[in-house]
Amino acid sequence: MADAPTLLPAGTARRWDLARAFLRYGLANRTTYRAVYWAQLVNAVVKVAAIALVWRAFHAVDPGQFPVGGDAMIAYGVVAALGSVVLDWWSGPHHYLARRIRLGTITGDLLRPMSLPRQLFAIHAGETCSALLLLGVPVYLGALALLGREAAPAGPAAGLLALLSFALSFALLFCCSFLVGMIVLKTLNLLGVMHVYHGVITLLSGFWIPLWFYPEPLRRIAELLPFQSIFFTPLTIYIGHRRGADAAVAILQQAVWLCILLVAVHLAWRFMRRRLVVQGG
Amino acid sequence: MALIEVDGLVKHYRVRKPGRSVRRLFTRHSELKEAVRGIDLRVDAGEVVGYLGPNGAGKSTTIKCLCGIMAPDAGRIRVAGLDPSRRRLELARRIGVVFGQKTALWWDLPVTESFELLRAIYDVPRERHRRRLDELTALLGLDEFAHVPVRQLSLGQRVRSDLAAALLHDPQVLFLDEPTIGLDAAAKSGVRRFVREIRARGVAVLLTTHDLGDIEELCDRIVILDRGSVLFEGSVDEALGRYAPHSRVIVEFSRDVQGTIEVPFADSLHRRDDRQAEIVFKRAEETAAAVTRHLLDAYPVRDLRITEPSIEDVVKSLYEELGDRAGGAEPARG
Repeated sequence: MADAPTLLPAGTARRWDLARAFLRYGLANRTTYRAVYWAQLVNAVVKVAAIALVWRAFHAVDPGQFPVGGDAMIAYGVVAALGSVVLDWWSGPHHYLARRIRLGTITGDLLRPMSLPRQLFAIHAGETCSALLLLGVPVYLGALALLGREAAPAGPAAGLLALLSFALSFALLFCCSFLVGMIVLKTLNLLGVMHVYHGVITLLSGFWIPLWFYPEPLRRIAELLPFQSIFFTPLTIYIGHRRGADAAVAILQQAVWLCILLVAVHLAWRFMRRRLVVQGG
Repeated sequence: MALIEVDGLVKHYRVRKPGRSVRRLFTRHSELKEAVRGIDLRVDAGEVVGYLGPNGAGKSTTIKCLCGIMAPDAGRIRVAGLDPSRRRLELARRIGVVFGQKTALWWDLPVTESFELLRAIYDVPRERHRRRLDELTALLGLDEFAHVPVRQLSLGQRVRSDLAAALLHDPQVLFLDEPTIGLDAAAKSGVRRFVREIRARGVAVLLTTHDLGDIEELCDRIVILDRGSVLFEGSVDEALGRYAPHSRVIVEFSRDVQGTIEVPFADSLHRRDDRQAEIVFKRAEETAAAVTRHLLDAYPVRDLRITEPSIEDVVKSLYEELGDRAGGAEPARG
């Protein structure tokens, strides 16, 4: 294979080289166990089909309860299910950190000429891209072929804005999971922390149930936290519930949350690095 | 040229102590453990230094401080000219580390994919990487398992892969933490041959091991630690002189020899029976040749056997001296 494009500036060429290497890592990891890959694909199909059927049935019973049309509600469910498969918050940086600490191999990560947050980001990006290519794209194309308008974005602009919003969701989710990973590093307790974290994401991100169905107090709490920016924001942009300036404000809000969380990641890592005691001889 | 320089290294740990019963849910106790106490160390280019001591002596803590993943509480460290805790990322390109018990590779990735990822992380130009990988493949025999995921490798193959991974970016300093632990004789011999090759190329190697074969075959110098302090530093011969100064001659007579056997300079003499005796003498005071010459002249000798002490005797003697304080590792011979 040839070297990274030499016409690019050195920094860009290095980033390109790293991105390609971590994508290969993600693809190799995703395809290591053939049975696991096919099971994940079937799981994604079942999830998408189930959620489409459920929302179609609910909407048919009482359309007045929904602020959006039946097609939009099905699209919301389909893309939410796919988003959960691709962004997969069960096996993010927190899970990687916990596993490496348990095996004592975190030392290997700490010895590389790349800070741990950057390594984790690159690994997570590689894994997410591989999930997008091997699971997200085929199932999405299948859903589009079978459901047509019911799975499609509200329009080309909504589709592009949702794509941008999902990219920010990925970064937001990474930051949240990294911060959870820091708690795991401090407490050496994965399961307890992870159950709370996953419960919070499931409840407050609008992933299974859109926030407009929540009771007023809970919705207000959700709106004050970053989690709704992970799923509810891109999904409502995708189905056209938020358009134009409203969509732009929502994306800006995601960007603000991202800045805040990046600072938190930086501070948390600086705090943990100074106190880091690697377990075992 | 010194590639590792350590002066007065001190490192404390805070270790959490579990509380009793339900109380542990509400209270937290910890104690300060002094892992390393004022260590001085120096390793030159092309030198292999054995860093020895019982479990818990502070060996791994020192290595973690030297690699920059732990900041020392006091003291001055320079590795390849850099302060590890301040310039860890820069230092990472100049050092290689192998922990025999823990792989630095990615469990599910084939070995070649791990190497490719490391090439990108260390930013090694592809052509240089390919040359280096070819060289390491030839030295370590990696080609037979290059496409096998790390999780499916035997321990020997895994250690060889880790050694290659640690040297892909051509480091000046190599830290080896028990690299031959659990390996069979052939695999150990291969790893030792490789370390000698690396030393010949001018790499400074700091070797932590309980394997006495590693020490005898590889180390130019040894540093022995106990409870965070240096107990001994010098060559293997110096260690033998200090901690195992005696040699033994076991003599077998062709007929019964009754009465006292007299050997000048013998420190002690043990009669096994009328036909066998063991003479223990200090090498510094008499040579084995003189002792055997005396025996051959004075007694009807059928056979003689001279037993020189090994580094195993040194470590045994040292660990016995440390006794219960160390609670230590039983040294194994490679």
